[in-house]
Formats: sequence, C-alpha cells, structure tokens
Amino acid sequence: MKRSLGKDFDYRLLLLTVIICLIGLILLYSASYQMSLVSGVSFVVRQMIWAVIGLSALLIIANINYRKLVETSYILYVITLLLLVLVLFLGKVQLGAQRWLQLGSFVFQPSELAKVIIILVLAKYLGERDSRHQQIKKILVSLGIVVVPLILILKQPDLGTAIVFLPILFCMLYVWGTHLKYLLGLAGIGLVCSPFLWHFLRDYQRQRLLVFLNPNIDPLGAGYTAIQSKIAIGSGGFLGKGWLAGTQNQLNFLPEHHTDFIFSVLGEEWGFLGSIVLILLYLFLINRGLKIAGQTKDVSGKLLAVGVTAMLSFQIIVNIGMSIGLMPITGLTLPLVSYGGSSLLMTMISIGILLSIKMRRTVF
Amino acid sequence: MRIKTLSVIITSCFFLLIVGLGYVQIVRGGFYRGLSEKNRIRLLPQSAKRGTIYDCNGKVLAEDRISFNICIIPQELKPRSVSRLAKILNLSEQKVNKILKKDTVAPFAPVVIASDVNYKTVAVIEERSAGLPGVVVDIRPLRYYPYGKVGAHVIGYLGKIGSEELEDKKRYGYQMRDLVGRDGVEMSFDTLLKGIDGGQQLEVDYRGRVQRVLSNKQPIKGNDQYLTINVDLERLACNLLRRHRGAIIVMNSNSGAILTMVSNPAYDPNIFLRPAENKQRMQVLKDKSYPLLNRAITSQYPPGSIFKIVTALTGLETGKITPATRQYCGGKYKLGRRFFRCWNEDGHGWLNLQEAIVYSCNIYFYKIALLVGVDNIAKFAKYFGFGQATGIELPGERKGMVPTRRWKRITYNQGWYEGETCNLSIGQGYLLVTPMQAVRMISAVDNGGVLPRPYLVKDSSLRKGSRRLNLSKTNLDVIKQGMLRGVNDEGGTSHRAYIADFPIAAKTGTAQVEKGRSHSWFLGFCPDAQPNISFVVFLEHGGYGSQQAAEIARELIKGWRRIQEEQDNNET
Repeated sequence: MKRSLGKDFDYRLLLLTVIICLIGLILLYSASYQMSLVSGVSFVVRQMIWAVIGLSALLIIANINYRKLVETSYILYVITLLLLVLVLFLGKVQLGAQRWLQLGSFVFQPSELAKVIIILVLAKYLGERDSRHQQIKKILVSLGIVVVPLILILKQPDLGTAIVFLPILFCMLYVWGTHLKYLLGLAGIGLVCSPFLWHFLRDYQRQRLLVFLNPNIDPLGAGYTAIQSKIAIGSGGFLGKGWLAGTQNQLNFLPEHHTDFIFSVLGEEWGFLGSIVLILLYLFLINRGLKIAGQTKDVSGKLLAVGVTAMLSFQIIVNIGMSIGLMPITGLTLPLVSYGGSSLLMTMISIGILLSIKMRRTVF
Repeated sequence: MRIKTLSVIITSCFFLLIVGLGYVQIVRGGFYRGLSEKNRIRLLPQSAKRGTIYDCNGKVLAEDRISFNICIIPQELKPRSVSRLAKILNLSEQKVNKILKKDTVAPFAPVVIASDVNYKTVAVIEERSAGLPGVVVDIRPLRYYPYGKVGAHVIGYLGKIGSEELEDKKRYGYQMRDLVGRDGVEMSFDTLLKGIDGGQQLEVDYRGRVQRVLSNKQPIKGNDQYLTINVDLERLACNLLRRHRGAIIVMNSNSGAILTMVSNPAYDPNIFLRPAENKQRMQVLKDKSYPLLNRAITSQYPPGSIFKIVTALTGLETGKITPATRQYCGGKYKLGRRFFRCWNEDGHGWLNLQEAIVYSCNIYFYKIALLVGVDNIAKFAKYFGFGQATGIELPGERKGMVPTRRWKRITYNQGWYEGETCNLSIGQGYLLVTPMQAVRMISAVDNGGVLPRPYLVKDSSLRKGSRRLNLSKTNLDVIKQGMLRGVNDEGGTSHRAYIADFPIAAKTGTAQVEKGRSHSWFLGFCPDAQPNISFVVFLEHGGYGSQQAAEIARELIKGWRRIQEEQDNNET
C-alpha cells in the first residue's frame, strides 16, 4: 500500500512548484533590493522561511488522506467563519484594510485560509449528492455556503479574495454536472446584480474600476499603479533590462512591486522571454491539476482537485492580467511568487491536497 | 468531459495573457521604453529643518546647518574623475574606489564619498566640475551641536528611525530614513522640533535628472525650543566634573527652572550624525562607564547624610523633637547586639539638632529615627518627592526607592528591623534617590516649603505641578541655619565650600556602597543669590562628600557669580 502511494506521487507537480517558488525568490530579491538596503530587513530570507514551512506543510498534507480533510470540512468551515468574524473585531489594520490576525509576532490572513476551506466544504457537499435530482436546491445551498464567508471578507474589505470564490463555485458546479442553463442563469443574475454591488464598494475600489476603464483620468492618483506597471512591463521588451536593472522597479516608480505587482518586475527585468517561461510553468502546473481531477473516480476528490485548480488559475490569470492592464486592479497575489506568508502557505497546502488526491485516486 | 472543456477554457485564457504580454512588450515595447526613459514624474521629498534649540540667553545649542556631501554617480563616472577627486579631497585613489565599491546601490544612485566637507572644497569642485564627470555636490541639512559634549545629556542626539518605531509613528508624518531624537530634549520634544516635510513633484528622466518642476510644497521648519539652561554655567560645570563620574544640577529654587544639568562621562552628540566618526560612536556605545547614561536622572543612588535633612524635618514636624532636643554622641550606639557608629569615632558629645546638622552626627539621627519610626520617615521622604519621578521633560527618569515596612514585607517577606530604621535615617540601606530628586528637596527648604516641578523648556505647557508642602517656617529655618553653619563654621562638614563674602547653605553626604569607594554628595543652596539657586554635586565613588564634591560646588558657585557679573556688565 505504501509503495503504491509512493509510485503515484506526482514528482512533476512538486518539481514545478519548487521551480516557480525559486523564480519567485529571485524576483523578490530584486523587488525588495532597495527596501532591504534601507531597512536592513531581508524579505528574501523571510520568504525562504515561509517557503520551507510551506513545503513541509505540502508534504504533510500530501501524506494525509484528502478524504479525512473532506470529512472534517464542516468543522473547519465553522472555525473559519469564526476567524473571519474575529478578524473584523481584533484584526490588525494595514494599508486601510483589516485583514490580518496577529498571534505574537506571527501575522495571519484568515481570508487566505477561507479559500481552501470553501473548496473542501463544496467538495464534501456536492460530492455526496447526486447531480441528477433536485439541482436547484443543491445549487442554492452551495451558493449559501459561499456567500456567508464572502460577505465577511467583503467587509474587511478584501475584494480580491472575495472574488476568487465565484470562479471556484462556478467551476465546481460545472464539473459536478450542473445544467448549463442554471449556470448561465446564475451568471445572468450576477450580471444583473452588479450595478447594486457598485453601491457596496469602497471609494478606492470604485476608483480602481474607473481607472481600469481609463487609466488616464487620474495618472498620479489611482491610475498611477496601472500606468507604471504597464510601463514597467512594456519597457522590458523582448529580453528585459536585466536583473536588478529595472529602473521602474529599482527607482520605486511601482508601488507594491514585491507583493501584488511582482509580475511587473519579471516583465521589466526579464522581458517577454522570462515572462513566457513563468506563464508556461504555470500552465503546466494547472494542467497537472486538471489531469488529476480527470483521473479521479471519487466525486469529492475530483471536485476538490477542480476547485484548487480553478482557484490557482483564476489568481494567476487575474494577477498577470492586471499587471499588463487587461484587468482591473484587485489585491490578488501571484501564487508561489508574491511576497507574503499566508498566501504562500495556503498555495502550498492546496498543492499538497492535489498530491494527496493523485496518490489515492484509485485506492477504492 | 467537462474537465476537458475547463482545460480548454483555462489554457485559452493563458494564451490570451501571452498575446496581451506580446502586445505590451513587443508591439508597444518601444513606446513604453520611451515612457520609462523620459517624462517620468517623481516626488522629491524635502525634509523640513528641525527646530533650533537655544539656551536661556539665546545661544544656539543645536541647529540644522547646511552641509555639503561629495558624491559620485557610478553610471556617469569617468576614470579620470576618480584621481582628480581623490587629489582634491586629500584621499588616496584606492580609498575612493573602495568606498565606491562598497556603497554602490544602483548605477544611477549617488554614492557619498566625503560627507560634510568645507566650503572651500566645494568651491574647488564646482569650479572644476567640467573635468569631473560623475561627481556631484549634494546639499543637505545636518544637525550641529556647537558645544559638543557640553549639555549633551540635556540636548540629546539624533538617530535613524527604526522600522518598528516607524510603524507606530507613521501617522505623525515620520518616514523611512528620518532622524529622530534619541535622548534629551531632542527626544522629548521630537514631534515639536520635527517640522512638516515638503516636497517637489518633478519630471525626471530615467536617470533621475530633473527636467522641470511640476509642483512645490514648501517644508515648514519645526518649532524652536528655548531652554532654561545657561550654557556658560553648563560648560563650567562640565569642566569641573571632567575628572569624575557623576552629575551636577543647578536649579532655580523658586521656579524649578534647570540652569545646569551635567552628567559625566558625556559624549559628543555630533558623532552620531557623521559617518566618518563611526569609530568614536562605537566607542561611546561600548564604553563601560556608560557615557549615554544621564546620571542626574536615570541613575539612582543611596543619598547618605544629605537625607538627614528629611529625618530632621520628620522629627520636628511630627513633634517628637524640638530644635532644642539634645542627644549624646559617644561615637557608637548599641542597638540590640549591634553597634551603630558615628563617622567620628571619638563622638560629638552632647548636641542639639542644629549642631547635629553642622557636624553631621549619625548617632543623633539614629536616636531621632527610632523616636519617629520608619513609616513616618518614609511618609516625609515621599512628601519631599522621593520615590516618584520629578516629571522633568527628559526621557528615562528613574523614580528612586523609599522603603517602608509594607514594602519589605511584600518584597522580602520579612519584618522591618530597627537597625534598618537607623540606616534609613542617614540615607543608607534600601533608600535610593536621583540627584534630581535631591536638588528638588533642598529647593523646598530654600524657598520656604514649595516643592517645585523642575523644567527645562521655557514655555513648556507641561510646567505645572509645583506643590506647597505644609511645613512650619521655623522648622525650615532651623535646618537652613544648620546648613549655613555647616559651611561657615570651621569644623562644619561643608566648610570646604566656604566663600568669604557669599553665604552658602549646604549638607554633605557620603554614601557607603558594597563595592568600591563611597559616593559623595554635596547638596545646598545660596540664600542670597538672585534668583535663588539650589545645587547638587554628586560624584560616583567620589569618597568623602566633604572633600572634592564640596570644592567642586565652591568653584561652581564662584563661577556662577562671575557669569552673572559678566552678564550684568554686558547689559549696562
């Protein structure tokens, strides 16, 4: 039994994860170079520590039967909701949002955790129910499962994370076997509701959307990041300006270039060639995930793999999309590359879940 | 099946990204490259000048002055510049190259080769700038303390803001690389001294060279601070103390204004701001005698016999003794099985209170202490402000320590011994005070019973909290007379401070410590001075208070009179 597990271990997926993580560290070194010189804080060392923690978590999770995670998911769901409520009261306020919980010197972002837990809960709920009867009721319950944490996260406010929930739900419902007319109906309702959502957005979020439509309305204010990011990537050209030589990055024209906008550093310093390499690596990673989903007979496992893959794909696409001006700015991180412990850890855990599914997909 | 579809959708999204990327980087690459190299907007912060700190006569103690740094921009440097620059700066070529190699951050960021160079050097470099490509002169404000070590502990020094501190203070307008006060007035009044930074919005090219100014916000200078310190007296006191570890404070007895506060060893605050003086800075930080410590307020010591003033007043105020109460001193006093000794082994014979102060007889005070008890003494000590911070506007003030029965029960789980009352009565044992607390106590004796709140900054809004003590005038006069006689009488312990035409009232203190020589104290006031002043001279391990400390006090007061005369002459 042990041996059969080992044989099914997806070494390629692990290798892809490590390579992308290393690329992230190289980019982070450059992105935080000036900041580290001034403050003496090494962002790279911190991120390395997180990467080691993350990899250990990944291996541990891979060795746990994912079914156990699915079984306990309702309890985890309740705990996550409590944490999300807690963060609204006790959370640490940074950059105008209350997203972080502080435990000693350790800062944690419960909304990152919520993403993975939501996938687990949906996998359990939908996996145990037949898609051939009473679809509407089950769809509505799934929607309910997602909406409660979504509202809590929107309150923080963390629009970026909240928005990831929708493609996760969509993809999981789709693979579960929802009739296309219902999915289209759901999308239609969403579209109709969006003008009302506008009302709930914070000023800076509205500003970002307006700026996305026309960055030049406020080139020194809200449009600044969008423009500077585009200039950074565009000026990288085919081969890039070279490591540590990106003027946009090093001269600090680009805010948040070590977290949300780290792709701009890649684009500027390593050019089109470097960017394509990373995008292709991501594509391989995503396809490994979908392949695992396709090979899994257990419905919960299949849905779990789909949910994780959908989450990662959406974050990658939206993050890179916003860096090159194809999408509005949302505070979404680039998985495995952006600076930040919670995000890195949760991505690693998600990949650990994929590995766990792969090893046990035929075990029963 | 549906997973296949999903895969197709996601893969096409990725290809869309690649197409978008190709469009931005290859099709429009030239356009963005142009944007990145030209016409970029940059905020150039202009730090506000820090407020100036003046002494009570308007002499500058700390100010921001203009300084010139000679920098090299690596990207634009030609080899010939290095040798020419080295010659002008009187450095070896290797040295310049070494600094350049060590400090280069980015090809376009200037590297400081020589900081705070004189005006002549700047003139030479500006003159030959055509032959020195890559060399630039950077002008910036530099904090300057013209008196160096004098008054260092009062004025304080500056240091770069730490990253955690920055998190806390960001909302008050602090930024990365800001200098903040690390001690003294520079620290306590940092937010006032700081001023409001301004900045320019500039259009720069990709090397950061200014194309034009788009907008300009003038920085606003911080508030100037006027201290009560007299820098001439401060310098004199600093000089008198130069061979000792210790502290001197001179205070206006009525208002609480601090005329002088010196702690030695001291440091030169300028060294914290000049990279070239790194070595001196490390020396100060590592020095085992702790030059950064302000011994006037941040160290606490047993007061020794200066505390007899408090014991005496406790006896008088509680009515247990009168000025006429006589006690016999035979050189030693037996309590239980232990002998408590007077410093004079032969004994003082019969004395009254005033004589006991003049000759600083221990036995007399042991006996009074046993009459009034430890808790009464502790009560009066606290009444005189011991065991509490004086509230002077400086960071790091210690509270001292006044022991009581209750305190000993809680701390040691032990009862109080009568012998400890004897120790307390002469300022030994658990009792700890700061020189600042001592001088405040004696000023209350001088001014007729008001415990002033000491202060350093003239119009400090914090200056409140002088406290009138409910003490009888006659009792205070008895103490005062005793202290005057202590200086005037040939045999008085304070006689070494005697000045022929100028009355001084003083009390010595010699506080025994477990290791090393005793600490010496000399605490007093000048009743005829205009304004009335109180002073304390404290020497860490200085031996007998009646010797060096008394002599230093005498020179201090002579000096003060001289300084006042000079000022009067200047005014008329």
